[in-house]
Amino acid sequence: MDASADNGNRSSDLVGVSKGNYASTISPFGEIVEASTTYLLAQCHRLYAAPSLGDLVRTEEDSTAFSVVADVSTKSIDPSRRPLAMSQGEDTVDDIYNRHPQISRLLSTEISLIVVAHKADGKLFRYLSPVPTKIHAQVSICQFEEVRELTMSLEFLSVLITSSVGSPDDVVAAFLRTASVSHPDPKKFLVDAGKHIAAILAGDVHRLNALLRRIS
Amino acid sequence: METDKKCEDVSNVLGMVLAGSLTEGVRIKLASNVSTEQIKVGTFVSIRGELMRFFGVVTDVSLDSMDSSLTSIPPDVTNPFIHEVVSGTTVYGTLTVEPMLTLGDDKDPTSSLEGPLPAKTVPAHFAEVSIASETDIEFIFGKEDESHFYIGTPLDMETKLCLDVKELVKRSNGVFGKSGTGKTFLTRLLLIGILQNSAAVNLVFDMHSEYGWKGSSEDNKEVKGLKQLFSSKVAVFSLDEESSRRRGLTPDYVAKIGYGEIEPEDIQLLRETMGLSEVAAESSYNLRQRLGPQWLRDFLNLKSEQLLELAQEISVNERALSTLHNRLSRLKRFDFINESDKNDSVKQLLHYLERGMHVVLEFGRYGNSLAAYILVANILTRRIHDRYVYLKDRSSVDGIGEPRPVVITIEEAHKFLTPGIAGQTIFGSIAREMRKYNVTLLVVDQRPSGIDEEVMSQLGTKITCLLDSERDVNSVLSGVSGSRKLRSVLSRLESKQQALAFGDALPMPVVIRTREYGSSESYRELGWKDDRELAQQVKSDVEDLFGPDTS
Repeated sequence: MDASADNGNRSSDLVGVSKGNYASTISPFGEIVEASTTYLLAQCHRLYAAPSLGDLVRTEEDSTAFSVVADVSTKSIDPSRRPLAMSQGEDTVDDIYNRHPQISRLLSTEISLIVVAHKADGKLFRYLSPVPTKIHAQVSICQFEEVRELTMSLEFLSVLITSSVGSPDDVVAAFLRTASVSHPDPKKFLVDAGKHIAAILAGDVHRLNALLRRIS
Repeated sequence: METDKKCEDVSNVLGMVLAGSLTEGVRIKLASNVSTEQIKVGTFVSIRGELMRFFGVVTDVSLDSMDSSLTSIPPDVTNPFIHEVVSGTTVYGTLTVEPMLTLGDDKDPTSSLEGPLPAKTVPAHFAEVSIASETDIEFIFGKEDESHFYIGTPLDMETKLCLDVKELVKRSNGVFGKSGTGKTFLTRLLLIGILQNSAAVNLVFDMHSEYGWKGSSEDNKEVKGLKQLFSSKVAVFSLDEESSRRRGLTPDYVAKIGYGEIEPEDIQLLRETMGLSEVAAESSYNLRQRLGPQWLRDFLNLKSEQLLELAQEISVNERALSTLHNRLSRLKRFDFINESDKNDSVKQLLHYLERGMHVVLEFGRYGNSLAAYILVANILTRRIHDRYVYLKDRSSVDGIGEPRPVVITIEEAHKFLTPGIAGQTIFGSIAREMRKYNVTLLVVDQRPSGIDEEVMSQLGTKITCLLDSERDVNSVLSGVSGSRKLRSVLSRLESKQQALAFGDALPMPVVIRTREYGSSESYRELGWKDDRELAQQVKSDVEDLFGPDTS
């Protein structure tokens, strides 16, 4: 699967999708509801209006934290009340939502984010920020230029590969596929990234094989 | 322009130093964009250390991987992307490089006044390795000039690689290689180098008549000999006038040898070739003592009953003597041996050599007879030796100029320099010490293992084409530092036009692709002029002397 195919799955609710997955203008899609130095949980402003797996996002604050979407989930806002099946015969999903408009208020979409870099005083650092992002900080999808700047060097890949959130290999593959579009020579970018991964996964040929197959 | 240069530098980078030692060679990890298939053993590389630059030769190329399990579970290389990613990272190539020379200053090689020195240490970790540039080669081996002769190019490069001819003629040298690998072409080039640089005079014992006048290449193409290229500097002596004339050459002198010039020690040298027992060969000394200077002529004229009598008289085994008589009678078949004691071949030869003329002695049909070759080469060389010892001693007493150095080229050298006889023959003593008397040898042979070890160790510069036999390789490389690693280089030379050269005339061992010889272009590069050019030259010389022709 290549990066351009993935673009078709983007939610139309996201504003300003222009180059690849990435926005040309900053437009927050959610806010942070849980934060540590390594991991963030964001809640979308609107149900299902989440970025894709592997997208690079940023938090708007004094210092900007860059993180990668590692997992997206939609569930009941009240953990003690599970949604029940509502379909009657041949209803489509849209029919159900139209018939029960309250559903949108009872569910929320949450995004797990792995922090990979931060920006302080206008300078980019490809490692963790010393303090975690504040709760309720706005989260928006990164701009095309930012993605390119951040992925000029890939030393943070090991953080993604060794993370325990979601399926790390899929996250890495999705992240690289979408980021490659921001580079003038996407193929070269992917090969270089692949070499980086090969060095990290030198002792695990099976995983390396599987991961590289997802990227190619 | 600046960017272009940078790009060029980057493309030359092969990798970086990761491990190694001075004795085992330095291990280099190839950069991911360089394939092992691009690097050949014998390639000349430069390593940029922290304090100095190193020059070395690739002696081994190997494949390695980050993880040993990769060899049992290979990555999925059917996918081209995966193939591209893992090559150079999880799996990569390594080189073993033998550091040979160092240069003090790493910024500008030309700023080092001392020139390259033998490497006594290894570059630090992660030093950058690149293929040596043309400037490097020129700086190390010298530019083509009066004392540097362009002999060929390094592997995969077009730079002219030069031999220091002045150093070359200071000691005896060797050209080795199995039959058909280009020994003769290489030797011809060396002779031309010596001739052009006037470093010494050549005396070539030309067994197969291929140096003086018309030789032939492997594909039977005719190539020019020395006399054709440098007619005013080369004289051809012939033992077989008829054969020379048939090939369109009028020899400058037809050489003859008198029976009186043959000494018992010549017979010793012929022992193996003529199948003589030790006793039989030794008895020639008794004969010389008993019969005087014309011992051989008188001995060969004896009848069988007189032999018996003589055997008793000089107390030699009668059967041994009769074998000696039988075998030596073969010499009668050589027309160049006569009974006259007024032959002046040696005098003429010395006369030419002392005048600075290079002499090629053609053997013609006698080239097929090893006995004739050994005999003549030995007799003439012995006389030259005597003369040079005299001249040199006189020069040290009288203070007059030293004799012009002479380089004697012999083929099938192992026949003269086998361990058993090298100690006694004139060639053995020339190889060992005659450089003091300005006489050195250029030994051309296909079986270097047959040559006395002591003689081999005394050879200053050795140039060797492909050798197959283990013993020959050992013998050529004995006593050379890093010989174990050079073996792999030597045994993988291509069978034509490639040679490994090392020794005094070169700062470090190097594989060369021998310079082209045989086309009119190549002759012209060597200074040959065709008839039209010669006529023009004559015309301009005349004009220089007498002014333009106004009539």
